[in-house]
Amino acid sequence: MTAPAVKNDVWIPTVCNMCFCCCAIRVHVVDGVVVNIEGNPDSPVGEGRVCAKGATGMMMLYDPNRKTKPMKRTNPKKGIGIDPGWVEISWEEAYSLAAEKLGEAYAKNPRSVMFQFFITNTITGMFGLQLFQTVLGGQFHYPDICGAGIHNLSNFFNGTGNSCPDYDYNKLLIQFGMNAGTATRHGFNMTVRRFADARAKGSRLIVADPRMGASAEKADIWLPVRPGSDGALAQSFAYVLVHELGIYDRAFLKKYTNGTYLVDPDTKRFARDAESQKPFVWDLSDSTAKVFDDPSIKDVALEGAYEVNGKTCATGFQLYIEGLKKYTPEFGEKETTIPAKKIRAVAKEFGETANIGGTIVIDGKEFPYRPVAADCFSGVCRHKNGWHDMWAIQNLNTLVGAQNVPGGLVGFAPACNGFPETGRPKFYPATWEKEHMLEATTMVLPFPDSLYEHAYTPLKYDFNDMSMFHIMPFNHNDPHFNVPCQLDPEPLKQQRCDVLLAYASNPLKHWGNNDEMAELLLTYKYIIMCDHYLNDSSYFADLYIPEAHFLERFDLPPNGAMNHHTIGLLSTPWAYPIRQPVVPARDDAPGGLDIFLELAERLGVKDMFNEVFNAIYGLTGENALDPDTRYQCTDIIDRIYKDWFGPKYDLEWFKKNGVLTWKRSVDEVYLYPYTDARLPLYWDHQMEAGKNVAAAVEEADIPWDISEYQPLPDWVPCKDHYVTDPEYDLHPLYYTNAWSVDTWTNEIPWLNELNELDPYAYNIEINSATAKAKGLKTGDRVKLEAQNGYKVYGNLVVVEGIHPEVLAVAGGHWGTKSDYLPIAKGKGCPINHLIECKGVKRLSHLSANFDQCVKVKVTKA
Amino acid sequence: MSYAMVIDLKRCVGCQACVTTCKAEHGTPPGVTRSKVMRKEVGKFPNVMRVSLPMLCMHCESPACVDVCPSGATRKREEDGIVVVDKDICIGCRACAMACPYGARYPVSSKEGYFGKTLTPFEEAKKDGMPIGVIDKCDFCFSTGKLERGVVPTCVQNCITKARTFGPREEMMELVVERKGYQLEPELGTDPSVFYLP
Repeated sequence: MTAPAVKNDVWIPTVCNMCFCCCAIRVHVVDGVVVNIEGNPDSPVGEGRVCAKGATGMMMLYDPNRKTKPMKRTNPKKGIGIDPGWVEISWEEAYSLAAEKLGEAYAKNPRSVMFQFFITNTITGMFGLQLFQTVLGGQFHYPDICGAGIHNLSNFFNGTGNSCPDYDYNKLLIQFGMNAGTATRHGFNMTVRRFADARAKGSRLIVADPRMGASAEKADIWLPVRPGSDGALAQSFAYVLVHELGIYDRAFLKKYTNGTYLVDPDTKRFARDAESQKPFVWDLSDSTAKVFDDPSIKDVALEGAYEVNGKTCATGFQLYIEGLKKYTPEFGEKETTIPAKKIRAVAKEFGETANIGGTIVIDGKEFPYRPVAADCFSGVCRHKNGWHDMWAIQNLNTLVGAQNVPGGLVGFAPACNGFPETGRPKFYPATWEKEHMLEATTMVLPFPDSLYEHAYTPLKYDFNDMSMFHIMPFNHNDPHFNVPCQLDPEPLKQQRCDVLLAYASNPLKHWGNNDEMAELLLTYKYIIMCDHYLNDSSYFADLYIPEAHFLERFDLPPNGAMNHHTIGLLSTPWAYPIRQPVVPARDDAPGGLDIFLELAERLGVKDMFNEVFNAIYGLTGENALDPDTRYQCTDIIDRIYKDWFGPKYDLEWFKKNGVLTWKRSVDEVYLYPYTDARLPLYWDHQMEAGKNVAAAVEEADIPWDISEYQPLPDWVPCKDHYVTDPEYDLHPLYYTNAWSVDTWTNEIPWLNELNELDPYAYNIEINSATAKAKGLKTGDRVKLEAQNGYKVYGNLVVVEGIHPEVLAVAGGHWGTKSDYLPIAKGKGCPINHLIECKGVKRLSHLSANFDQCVKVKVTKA
Repeated sequence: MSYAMVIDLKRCVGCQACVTTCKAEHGTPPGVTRSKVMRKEVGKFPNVMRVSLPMLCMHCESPACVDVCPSGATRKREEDGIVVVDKDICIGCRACAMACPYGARYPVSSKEGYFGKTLTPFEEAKKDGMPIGVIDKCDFCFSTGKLERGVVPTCVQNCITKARTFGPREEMMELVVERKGYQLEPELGTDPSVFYLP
């Protein structure tokens, strides 16, 4: 009898990638097999817990449908359901094919190559693929519908590109169109515990959402709004606070906003001192106009209008409150369907809970204490007017002083004093001195940016850049005009790209009508896809390059600077973890970064690649990359860790320990009162930006709508709100549940099983009264048809928790048609298919929000 | 002593992490959800509430499943109150599954895994705990030795809202009384050891 072999039984710390949040996990590996995944208790990124998706990582790792060998197509005919005739090829052939096609296009016109990624592996997308795009000079696509506009608004208000309520101190939260901390959002797994703590302590939650989603389910008050009317609701709340209750934080508005600056009635621009160009304010103590930073100012006017140089100039705040006058609760009721009485009650509760004038001492420092916040995300972003809507929502926080102070809305990580042993990474939002406005440290890595300088920079139209960033000074995140321009470059005088390199994305499904997106993919002469699966878009790809699964690969530091997919707050220590392989890669597939490093070598741009790495990670001295050396991902992360944290914290240290953490301090969380830089209330800079945009498009003779460049937010209905045909009476919308993300997550059988057991996820929800009126019942197979003729089919489920004018499905991008995703195939109802992609009428010309609001008629199929 | 679990519905968001972490811990086959989340609506629009109710074996003090088990495979452990199935003895008659008012018992009837006939290395590693033709159910992670190691069940350890509390029933009752907790279907007289806080 032989003794049983001693098992090789280890727990390995690494980082999840079942969504973009990148929570710290530890993986139980026995004799080379992953037998369990848990949260890593050593890290604040998840605090030792994983979400429903995170626990399923091994079901993707071991999915036999995952493709792990490079392949090329042999059938030139492209289309959904047409067998591409994939044949396996060697890595050498794959790399040389990719380098050849990219090289040819690059030689002809660098801008003829489109690089695209989606959010799941943000870091490799940004610092592998996008870096590659930067050095090659191609174009870049990133179909982030859900975050459009909001990140830049956060930059303006909270010093960084992501904001959240200060859950630890918040007492009343109004969520608009989001399920943050209940089902979704950056840092979901970190947020959810803090939010539960807040509810357990008695915090109140009010949720504006047409469907009773995960947040509304936990809410004290559910406001089932008509889709696309969030901005009207926010403005009505502001109306009640200002015009009926007189509740607003005068001290905050005077000190920390530009609402006191005087506005010229003729130009709608700030009235400025001719010599210094500084805006004037009015000093009530001596009835004199003075430049805003005049040290003699004793009592600055917040409200009213005053005579300056022969003109009656109102304060920006006065114009804001006058602009609110049309947004009575009765107006709000008409547009949102929320009763005026309820609008008044919610606004009153928000204003009274704001505790204006109150203070709190935290870690020995006294702060203003405003324990209320209005927060918004994906739902509001999906409307053309999203920028104005989210701006109006953000103004609720500004109005009561609940910005960047305990209890209110704060940036995820606007500031960092650095690791105590090295002082790195270190960042703090700057001040735009000309008007003393708060700047931002932006997102992912700290890229200090001046949105105000962008507003003041003259623009020139670029006829070979479909992103339109060149005429969108406040949008450097969302190159959404790529879609209509690639489909038809003529109207905006653009040029199509010929080659697409798509990393971890499924372009056919992530936007609008699937047939139009197929048409878009057919415009490319060559498509290279780097992924785990063959998805819908793979039917149009020429070359497939597999990436190793996240349990099989190293990546760049996955949480960046902890300011994007991790929330901040005082209770969250800083955390820098490692993603490392826990098992060898199937078929030795490399990680994404190593793929891009190899291509950079073959294309002769390794030196530039290395130099850009040095710049973005700030690598210095012996840790800087030598331009002429071919590095592996492991070499680079070893240098990043050592450079940031000191020689002791090298790759080996991180492999063993998994994560480096240290305490966050109050001055890194709350910007006020550490800075006195101001927030925008009157957006004079947006008028300047609009002027520059107008000049650029006039010179280029381009049709371009500049109506959104206003100094104050306004609400306008969505395009399909104007549909008057009574047959088209319902708005379909989609939501995300806590256990699903992209098309591929339905391929994870445990997650698919959850959706199959869930009464809602794969079905179409309809309100019971609406169903009754139409003679429809649960289980009916129905057709949803939009006025553009596009149709989708699905099975109804009759419910109470939904607005009577609304239909809802989970994941509007689902319903994959890929035979290579056999578990996910055909699951869910892809309502994105109802939305036309051609033309620019659905796109915000300021922030690139894509309006997904459509109206449909529903009939039995 | 009996163990008990308390689930705080004020904290729970119905996220299903308890379901998939249970699968990761135990490797239960398709259709077997020792841990699951039920959903219901109460009221009419707009005065409606949606409720997510996490379910598992209630480890009842008077379990309906024990009396009906003809083989003696199902029993309630005296030392800790956990209701267990001895899978070596179970004959898979499903009488217990019929008797359980909480739908907590699952017959394991197919050799197929989540991807069909060929099991993944993960499923292979877990299959000894999931024999075919017998009943599977939650055992408060007794079978994977967590309790022995002084660790709470996986669904408690991992709950991302920290909605679950686990321990000796006497200790749990303090919380239940304080927060006016309740059992599911108390009128059946099964006296569950899983309590819900409103």
